[in-house]
Amino acid sequence: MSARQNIALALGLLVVLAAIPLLTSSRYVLGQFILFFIWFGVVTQWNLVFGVAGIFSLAQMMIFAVGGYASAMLAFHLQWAMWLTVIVGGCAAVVTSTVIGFATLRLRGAYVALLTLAIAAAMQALIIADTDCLSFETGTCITLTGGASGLSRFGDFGFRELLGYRSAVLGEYYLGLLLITVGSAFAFLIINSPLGHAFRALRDNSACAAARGIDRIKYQVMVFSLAGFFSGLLGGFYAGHFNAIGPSILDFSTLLFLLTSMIVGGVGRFWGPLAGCAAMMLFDELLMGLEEWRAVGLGVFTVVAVILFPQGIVGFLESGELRRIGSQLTGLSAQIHHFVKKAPGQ
Amino acid sequence: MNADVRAPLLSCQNVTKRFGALTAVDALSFDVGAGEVLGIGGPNGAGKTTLFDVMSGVVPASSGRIEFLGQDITWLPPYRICAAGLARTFQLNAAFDSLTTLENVLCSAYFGRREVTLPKLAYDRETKDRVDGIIESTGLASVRKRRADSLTVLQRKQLMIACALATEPALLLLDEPVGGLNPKEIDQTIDLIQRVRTEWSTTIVVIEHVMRCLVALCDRVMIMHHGRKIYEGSAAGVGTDPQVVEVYLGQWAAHRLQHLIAEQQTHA
Repeated sequence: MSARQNIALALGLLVVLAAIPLLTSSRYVLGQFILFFIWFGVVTQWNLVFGVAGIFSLAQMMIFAVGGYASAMLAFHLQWAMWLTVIVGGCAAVVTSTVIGFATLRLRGAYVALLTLAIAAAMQALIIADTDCLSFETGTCITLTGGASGLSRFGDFGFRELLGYRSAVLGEYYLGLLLITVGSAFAFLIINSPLGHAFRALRDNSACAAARGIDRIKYQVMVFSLAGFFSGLLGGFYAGHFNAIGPSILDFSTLLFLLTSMIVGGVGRFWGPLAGCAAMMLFDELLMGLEEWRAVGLGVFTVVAVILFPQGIVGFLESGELRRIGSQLTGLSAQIHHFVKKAPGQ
Repeated sequence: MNADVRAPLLSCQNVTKRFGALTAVDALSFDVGAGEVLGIGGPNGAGKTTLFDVMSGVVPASSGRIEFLGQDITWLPPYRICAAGLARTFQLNAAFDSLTTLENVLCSAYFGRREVTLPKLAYDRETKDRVDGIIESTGLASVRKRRADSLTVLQRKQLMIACALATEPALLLLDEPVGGLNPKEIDQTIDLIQRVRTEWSTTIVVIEHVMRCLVALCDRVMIMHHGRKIYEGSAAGVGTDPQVVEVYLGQWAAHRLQHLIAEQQTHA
């Protein structure tokens, strides 16, 4: 697709998404869309590291959690405004992500996955183990991170006062939409710039890339830093939207759900995260009534998707495979037509 | 005569590369003068590709010194050596498979010519124009928009040369540029390398087993065996050197080589 086609498609989608609140006022539907914005935004940034640069980092939810926790803690303990803490959360995530980038430099492939997963697990364990009381102000023990039960009721973006209780969700819906629009534009610019080509060159053949002037250390750290900012912002947005954050966002199941979304959509492709998150969340929604079979259903869906589209949904659409099947079907129908016409004569 | 007085473009002094007990390159010394084409031959395992790896910084030398344009590049990382003006191609067809032909050359031109502190969001016009010229003259114009992994063997070889040229090298190292090609493609590639030499005035070191290619291209030939230099001189002398015939060419190939050289001399 040319840049112009990409922009046209993005604008079309943006108009549709912006019009959704006009079609429904269901708080549940809008809430699910906000959650979709968050996951889609997180996977878009993760895709830069995991897909475009080909570094198998599983630290993405941890970077998201750093953003979320930084904003929640500042709002909770210091009563900072949520708008400000979200920005600080984004910056904290950049720093964390950069450090993780440095930590992975000497590792390759699956070892990067192991290290980053261990870092994320350590963060979760540290939060759960945090039981030291910071203060006893209201007679209850308040810990720094909130421990196993997390932090809550620390404030939100103020849409409730501004728009009233019933319409507050609208404010958050459009804020989420703004975040993913800017985050996606950022990812698009990177993927199609010299920087994106350097990331892909290192992924495809790092020895050859080095011999063409591309410094692996520099660009590997850089991709982590770049992907950190919007991940952290979205973490803060998550905390502000739910007015709560807990260690369960570091659960392996969430990470796996998002990783699967990226793979189903198409790893390393700009439209992959959108297609993947939309497909996975839609399917998850359909399985809602199945209770304990929901996870199994999602697993089966993933297996079928990966077998049918090894390059992801977007990879399949871009490969021209669709056109090939189309022309085969036309050929087949022509043959049947021919056969049917000939048959009575025989 | 002046060329002999000038300092060589590249000078290797006692370059050694050991992998454990194996000495792949053994105290090798040689010079490459500006504008010349040096051919390197020798049996498999002689250390030819390892020598290129050491020169281009892909693997560090164990000892010795490599000077390029008066600068000690022995311990520089590969991306610095590339920016300094020494580019190489690989024996296996190395390219960035998921990028198109155009993107491969663009990204080599952008990052390889000089050190880039912070990349911009788009390629500048000058880089684009230069890349268009290189794609045109390396015969890749018809496949500009194709992904590198969909190219033929010949096109991938051409792409590798195009990417190396895009970094504007003063010295180009070619590792078996015609390996795996058919006779017609070999002629095309020899022609391309000769054009590189004249149009870009690039100095070239080429590793090749195909003697026809060495004879056609090289001013001087060096034959390696067990990491050492066993012959250095004219291409014509290769076939008459008893040690080279013994360890590398064999009687039959040496005989054919003499024919080839005689043929070339009558053509000239």
